Amino acid sequence: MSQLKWLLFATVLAMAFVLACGSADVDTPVPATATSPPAAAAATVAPAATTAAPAPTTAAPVPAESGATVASMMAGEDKFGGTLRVVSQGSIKSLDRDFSGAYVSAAASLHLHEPLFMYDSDFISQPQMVEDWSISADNLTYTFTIREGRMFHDGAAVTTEDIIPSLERYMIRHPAGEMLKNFSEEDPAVRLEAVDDRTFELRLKEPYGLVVQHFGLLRYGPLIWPARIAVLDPFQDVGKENLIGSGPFTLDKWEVGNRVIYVRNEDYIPRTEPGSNFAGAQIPYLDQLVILEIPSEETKMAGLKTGEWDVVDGPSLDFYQEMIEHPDFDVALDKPGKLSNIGIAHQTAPMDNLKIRQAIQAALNSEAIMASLGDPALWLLCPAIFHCGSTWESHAGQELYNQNDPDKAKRLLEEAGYNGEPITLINPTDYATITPTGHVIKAQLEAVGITVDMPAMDWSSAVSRFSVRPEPNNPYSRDYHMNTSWMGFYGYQDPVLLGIVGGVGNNPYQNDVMKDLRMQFARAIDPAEQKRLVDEINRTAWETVMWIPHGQFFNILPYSKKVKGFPASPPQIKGMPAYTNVWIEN
Amino acid sequence: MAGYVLRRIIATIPVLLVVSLVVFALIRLSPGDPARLIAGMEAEEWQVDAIRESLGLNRPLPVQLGIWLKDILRGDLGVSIVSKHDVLDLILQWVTPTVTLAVLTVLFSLIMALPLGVIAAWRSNTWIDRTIMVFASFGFSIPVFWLGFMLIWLFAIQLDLFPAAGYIAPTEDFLGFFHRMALPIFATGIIFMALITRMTRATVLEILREDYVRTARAKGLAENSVLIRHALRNAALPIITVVGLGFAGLLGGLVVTEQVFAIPGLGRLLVNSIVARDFPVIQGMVLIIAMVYVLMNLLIDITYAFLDPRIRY
Repeated sequence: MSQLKWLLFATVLAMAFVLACGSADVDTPVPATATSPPAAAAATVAPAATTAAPAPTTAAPVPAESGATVASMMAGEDKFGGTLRVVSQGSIKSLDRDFSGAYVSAAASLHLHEPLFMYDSDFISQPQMVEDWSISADNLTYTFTIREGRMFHDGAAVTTEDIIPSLERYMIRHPAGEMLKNFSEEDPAVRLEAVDDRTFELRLKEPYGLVVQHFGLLRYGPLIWPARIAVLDPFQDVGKENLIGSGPFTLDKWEVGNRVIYVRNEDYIPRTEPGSNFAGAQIPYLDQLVILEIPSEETKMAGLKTGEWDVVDGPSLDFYQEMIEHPDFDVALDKPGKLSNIGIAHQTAPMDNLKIRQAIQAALNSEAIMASLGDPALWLLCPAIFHCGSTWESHAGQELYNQNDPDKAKRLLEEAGYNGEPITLINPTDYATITPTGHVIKAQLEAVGITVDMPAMDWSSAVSRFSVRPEPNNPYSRDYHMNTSWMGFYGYQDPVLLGIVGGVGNNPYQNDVMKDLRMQFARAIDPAEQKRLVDEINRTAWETVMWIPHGQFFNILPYSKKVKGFPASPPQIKGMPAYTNVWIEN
Repeated sequence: MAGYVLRRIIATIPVLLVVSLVVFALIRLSPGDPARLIAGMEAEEWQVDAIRESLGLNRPLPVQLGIWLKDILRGDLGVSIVSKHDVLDLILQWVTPTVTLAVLTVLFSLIMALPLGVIAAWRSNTWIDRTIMVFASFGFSIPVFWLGFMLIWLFAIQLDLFPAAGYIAPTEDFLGFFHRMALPIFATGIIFMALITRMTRATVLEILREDYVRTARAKGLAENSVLIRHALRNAALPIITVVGLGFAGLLGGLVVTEQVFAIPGLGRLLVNSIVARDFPVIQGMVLIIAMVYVLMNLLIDITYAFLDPRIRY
């Protein structure tokens, strides 16, 4: 009995503790207030004067005819029908792309929405929901008119009352939106104003040449939500019940951790231009699009071979040769691919010494590093920090790329006074397209006399390590020196999007010249001027060792040959796989 | 008996409290920032801070612990900070595949292991006994993931007899459910079967040396009656202990099987939550698993009392 008394006493004590400490509840989501980020210093710089007519950085707007709904297109068209089963790259934790920064969330939710603009096969931003747009002579006012008949999946019409709060959400949540906001009028009522239900104006306080190009971003462009959802806190997931878009597919079911099932939106009205990647006509031929979560790489490929599913998004590169030789499958390559690189903690000694960084740059054999990822058909060497094969490809400064010069590296180390202190290289153990590069890099650096410490940790732990600030009052302090990583390419990259150029987000790389070049690029309207600035940024990145790119690798997308419609020959994925304009051949 | 059960149930409270404190401390102190993982590598610090604040992760740890414990007392395990789904709903959604796989694995193992164990004991030190024990040792030593992949390669890819992976609820397609579960059950069941076979053999072998067994044989009872009604029945207690604890272990330990065969069960949920540092889900799942272990122990003890009249609480 005495034991029972002690048990009861312990229980009462625990409850008392709970009542004392558990007084506050986690806030429920509330409409976001315009919580502004720290104002970009460059926003106070006087705008560059220009009287030149705006040189569009995108293709001329194509007036959209009022088209037929998908339902009316189905009669007599054999392509309609079937279920496409796609295996996701990873676990889908959110279908709210505004909230989650993960690729799998963006890829899995892509067809739920119809954004204002989307990229074509040349990564040029083309109108999608937008019917017509124009820029004022002074480059300060953009006028957009959306196509008629745009409807959300809940049956409500898409109007400017939904678009404006959606754009405000974009300006809070995404770096590209944040930059747009810095260039826009301060007063929300002035910067975005509805002219009528289908037309609205965006007003800038100084010219900004990237509005339309950024609107088409596959991962970080603005999504158009119903107004009641757009005003929710963008730093919280909107929730399963609010996953309402106006795209060619609607969400039918989401079994978290198992599969996401989309069904065709037969009320959707595609554009009438030929489909080109995500631009033009986006026709949902499929009855169902099922996105599966299969954790094991071997199981993904086993199920593809047995016909359990039809497409595998981004399996291990090791399977490439086997699948390319298989008679029943094709393999699409995601080009131009991801930029494998080394990140540097510039303000952590001795990485704050330029000669040390230059020594590391000189020691590296990029070809050997990229070879560690696999088949040569799946990677290429490239000195462009904004990706080869993209809009802003630049080779300026390439003489500093892939030097593979151990003698030069040793000389620079001696000049720098390097005394053998360990350099910590963060290299995750569980990331197939990063892990091998770390081992090669370590060996190359040790060969020139650099002591490299490479602690074992998984990717999640590595990401957390990046957030550690050994000096609480110094946001640029880090407890490591370098890290292996890659920079994704989802249709477009430029100096504004690549935050490290401007040192945003407390990035240890703080270079005033680069910050100024970045803002000049943001203000530039003339494509020739933009190109000149990109070249200068590229060269400066190499000379100051902003980071060290090795090359680009291509994710693979093996799929059954009965799946038709992937662009190009040989098949390619342009930024992200699109499952509109894709059908199953019986 | 009722008093004993009540005492044991009350005794689970401090056990669960200790488990809660330990798991809370371990996951909060281990490296991992869910806010940064959610925001992405390219997000700025202020955006990560905003997410951290919206999720309540910037509160002092004792406050976070207090909130969580208070919610538990109301039966609320919280909300996933990643998917925003209710933790209890997530667990209930994911528990069915794991429980069905665990139950079927145990049944399969018992059906195979009990006869094998009894035969091995009955024919101890013969080639039959040695063959069964080699098989049991082999089964115990095989890594589940290797066996799973081999089964997929042979029966799914080469012979096209079974699906490679995936799960269908029995309510959706009853035969399809068993068709898909055949390989996972075999992969996990082999190990469990090996364990029970060895346990059964050892226990039955000991019982067969008892005087009452000699008496039963002397009375002229048929051998199978001696083996089943006397030996196996008396061997039930330790076997039940192993089966009970093994079943509880399977609920969290099927993670490898679930990963290989893409079954959306509790093991996968736990792994995904750990990778994403989804604290509420991890805490809720560990609490549930601890509760299952404790209740399973209680169930075993109660079962003892039914099987053995000499045991009274």
